[in-house]
Amino acid sequence: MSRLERRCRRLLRAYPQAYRAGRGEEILGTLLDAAPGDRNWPPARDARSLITGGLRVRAARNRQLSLAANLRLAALLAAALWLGDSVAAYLDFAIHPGNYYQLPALSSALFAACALGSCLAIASAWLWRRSVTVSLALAVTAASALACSQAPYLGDLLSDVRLIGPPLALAALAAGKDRPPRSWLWMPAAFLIASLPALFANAFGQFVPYIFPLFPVVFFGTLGIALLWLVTDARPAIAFGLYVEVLYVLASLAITRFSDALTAGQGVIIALLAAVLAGAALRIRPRATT
Amino acid sequence: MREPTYFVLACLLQGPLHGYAIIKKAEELSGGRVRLATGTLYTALDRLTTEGYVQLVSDEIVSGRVRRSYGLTDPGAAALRAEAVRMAEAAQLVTGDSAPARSARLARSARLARAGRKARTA
Repeated sequence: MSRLERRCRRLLRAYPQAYRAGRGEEILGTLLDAAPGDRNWPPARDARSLITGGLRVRAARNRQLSLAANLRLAALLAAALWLGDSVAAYLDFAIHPGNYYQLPALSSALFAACALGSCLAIASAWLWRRSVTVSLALAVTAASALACSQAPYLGDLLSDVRLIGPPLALAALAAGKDRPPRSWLWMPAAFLIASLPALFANAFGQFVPYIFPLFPVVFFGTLGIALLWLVTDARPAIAFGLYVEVLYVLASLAITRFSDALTAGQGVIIALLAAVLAGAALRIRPRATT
Repeated sequence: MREPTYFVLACLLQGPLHGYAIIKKAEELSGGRVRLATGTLYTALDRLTTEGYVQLVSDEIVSGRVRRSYGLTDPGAAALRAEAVRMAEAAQLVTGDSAPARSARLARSARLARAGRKARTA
């Protein structure tokens, strides 16, 4: 294989694998025919056109589903991110029951089961059958509801939403026909892993993964990647936005427990995030190819 | 219709061609002005195939690689002619033309476009 061919093959990776399987050799043949015999590098304009062509094919492929189906997949990823985030909270209740007014042993055991079940539910949304995901997520929902009911101090509505909401959302969203792309699975996995170190540093009875260094790195790294991904796929960015919106609304409501209502600033931020999300949703509408 | 698309269709007017032959022919037809990049060519071919203007005619193996030839369909030929007439009309606005001749051409352009649509839906 010549250097030129090797470099052309590298450029062809801009196209999705399925497209390359059907068209790759044909495009490669045209590239090699068009290049003078002594060339080692493909011409810059060919390189540019292959990269933009590949990105265009990827973008078109990601818009093939209906708007509703794409929004469901984005919401499913957001629910998986939220649940990945909650796994660390479940584990914290299981590992440090003494930090929470001596959490009952049953609740600790149930939260440990919730953590394991959540990991399996997240993985199954990408890898296994829909029915498995729904069953696992519903089982986690039931277990977390039971664990909350056994621990009276956890029994306010906001705590319940934070612990029961993620698996319930995953169960509701996993029931649809289309499966999320496997290339998204690293996102909930990264959030889950990033929130774990906080478990070992939680000596104060206050589990706040956001203040430990790994979490902000993963958070902003994922945000950056999701924004770059907008070129070919807006759904991860929408999912990330939804996740942030839910977390921000919950955090704001938590603060209002100590004050009267949401402040104007909080309301503006929530409305702005919702507007950005609505704008991003327009990017995933199926479009004509002309 | 964008210029690269127009020239891809124009290249196929005289018969089916494979990718590299289309690039060479487009350069020749445009007097060296239109030099199709490989990615641009295949993006246009994908779109034109989806729209039914171009079809795969033959598939052969050359030096161990697949080489496909593409041909113009009837709707593709009609769309190309309609575009040519439209561009000629637009050119006449600048180069000057009589009103009756212009209306006759406009009517012809509309006829061709209708025929193209009919052929496409058939």
